Amino acid sequence: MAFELIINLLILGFSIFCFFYVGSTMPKSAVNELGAEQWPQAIIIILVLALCWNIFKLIRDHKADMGASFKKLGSDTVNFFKSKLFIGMLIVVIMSLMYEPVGFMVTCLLFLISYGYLLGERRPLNLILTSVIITIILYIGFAVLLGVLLPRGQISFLRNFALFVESLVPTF
Amino acid sequence: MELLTSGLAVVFRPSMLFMVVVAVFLGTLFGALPGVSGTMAVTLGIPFTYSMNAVDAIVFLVAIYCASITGGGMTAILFKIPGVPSSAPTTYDGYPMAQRGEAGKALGMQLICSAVGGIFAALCMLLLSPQLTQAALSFGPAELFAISFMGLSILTSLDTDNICRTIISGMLGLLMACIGLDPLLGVPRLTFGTRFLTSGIEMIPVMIGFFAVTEVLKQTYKPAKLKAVGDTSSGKLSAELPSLKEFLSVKWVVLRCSVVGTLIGILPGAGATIASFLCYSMEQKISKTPEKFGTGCLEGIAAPESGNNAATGGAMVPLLSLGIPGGNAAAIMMSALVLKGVTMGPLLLVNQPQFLSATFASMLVANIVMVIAAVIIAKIFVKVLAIPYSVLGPTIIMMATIGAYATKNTAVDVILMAISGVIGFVIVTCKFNSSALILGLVLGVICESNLRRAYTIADGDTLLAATMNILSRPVTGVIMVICVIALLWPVLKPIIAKKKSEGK
Repeated sequence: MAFELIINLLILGFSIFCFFYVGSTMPKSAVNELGAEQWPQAIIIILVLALCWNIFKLIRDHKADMGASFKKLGSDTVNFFKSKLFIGMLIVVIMSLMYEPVGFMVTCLLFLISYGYLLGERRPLNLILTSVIITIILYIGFAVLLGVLLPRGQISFLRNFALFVESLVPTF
Repeated sequence: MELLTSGLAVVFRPSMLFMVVVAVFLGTLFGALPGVSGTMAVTLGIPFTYSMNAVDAIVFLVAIYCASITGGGMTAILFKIPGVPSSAPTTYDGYPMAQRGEAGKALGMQLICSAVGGIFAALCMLLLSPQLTQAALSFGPAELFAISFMGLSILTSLDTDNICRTIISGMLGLLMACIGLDPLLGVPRLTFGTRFLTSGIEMIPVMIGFFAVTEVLKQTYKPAKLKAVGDTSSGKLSAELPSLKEFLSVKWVVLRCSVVGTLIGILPGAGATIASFLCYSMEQKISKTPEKFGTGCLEGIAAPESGNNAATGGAMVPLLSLGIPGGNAAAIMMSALVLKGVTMGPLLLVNQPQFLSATFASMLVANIVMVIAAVIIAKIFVKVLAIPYSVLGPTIIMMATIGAYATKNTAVDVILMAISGVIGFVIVTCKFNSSALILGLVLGVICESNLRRAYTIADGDTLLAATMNILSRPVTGVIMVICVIALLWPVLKPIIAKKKSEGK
């Protein structure tokens, strides 16, 4: 409940900021036309009203356990940062950041190994073997057969490695 | 006839026919895998379309979509886990049949009904789309705004238990659609001074993030265990077709649900899930033996399966004739076409009628191939599901990443996908509605640009006078009244019901 309330309040605060921000950054519109700022502002007004109602309902429905929920928030936050879910999120974000600079092959291999391990695969040989096979299948399926552009990487030795692997795959 | 011939010519090109067969196999497989919805199946199919032209791309994606809805019924029958949300009602009767050792018959009935529903909807699409297009050609910006707003009017019906949260989600989607260059003035809006946001929020990476990455994160958080029942343990599972007598016993059920499913599919925002639930409850209500529903009867499988497949064809009608997606999957197909430089809207079928004919032919062929494909897949399916999620989950994310990157070949889209996946999880945790958010994001730009054009054209000294001029146009006025009723009805319905029960 506490988490939900905080998210609602954050969206509310951001919406109010956007309302004034868009009003101050857009050119002034004529009295008989719908300007560039009025459409987003109209959306924000409905959004703010709905958020206020949602926050009111949250507080009303959870009056009894509100204190306990906020007390638990600290330990819940610590548990979240230790959870598989947070590590999963972190792995996905890291993968997205290294996808272009490191290149598809190494990123895919490392991602499959790390996420597979996170999801409970503890046999190292199995994990590495399946990851290598899937990387090859994805590479051949998309880059070779379908001509989809996959990044080779911006770091020179990784790029050379990708080019070397590509040279091993017959072209169609 | 000419349309049909040209459509079949596209689909029966050897390379395309091969791709349709691949799409059907992929779609059935994706749909059958729990956690991979029909929308996600279409999303995962997008990278395959990058090397295709626009017509081939829609043919491929439509085949995946149709097959995924059918594939979803398999897990519903065998595992009591609907592969796609629209297969949820199939579990009510499919699973009890599987428990009785009649999994083969249940699967056979599911396949036949899915195919009949899909083909019926494809025929309706072929007949209805040109008429709608002709009508839409006389529409101006005001009417086009009203039609796109109709898509948004379904917001309150998406999740009637959480109307407020669904509205918040829809508004967040609409606000996200405002980011980037203003559609009329061309000035950067809500970009906060960053150049990354100047071109706006790219739809495909956001959708991929919301549907694929969020789903894998959900499975990481709470993994679901799968266990097959019925005659699967012997490894001799087959999707034997029901006898002619058995099929004839449900012929009216299939016909009624195909009609209802197609109509629901046509409504913007409503999709296969609503269609299957509605068809199931409708058939239960009008059945002479309603007590049999839920215990493992053929009608209970025929109703949702013909309904949800019919909705797939229905969803293509507004997409092709008006440029308004009928659901999430249609929204993704629309994004894929826009990416190919196709301008969606009423002029699409006038200038390029091959889109309609190719889509129809694809649905026709896909629904026939699907029966054969599903029989084969059903036999190997139990083994495929043995793939541990530690392999399947990361592979899904990698395929999603390839799809996001290939949109514009920039890493920004991959980062956007990852962030959307994380935000999607937060949204689901806070009981917001990600479908509503996507609906807002897709329809936002169409709604805004048409409404603002309508104001520019309308005579009026003030904003109010211009508004009255817009609403006084007959088509706009009628559609807006329908929209207001559609928006308010889910809110007012429980209040009216409460008052009635108090009165008694």
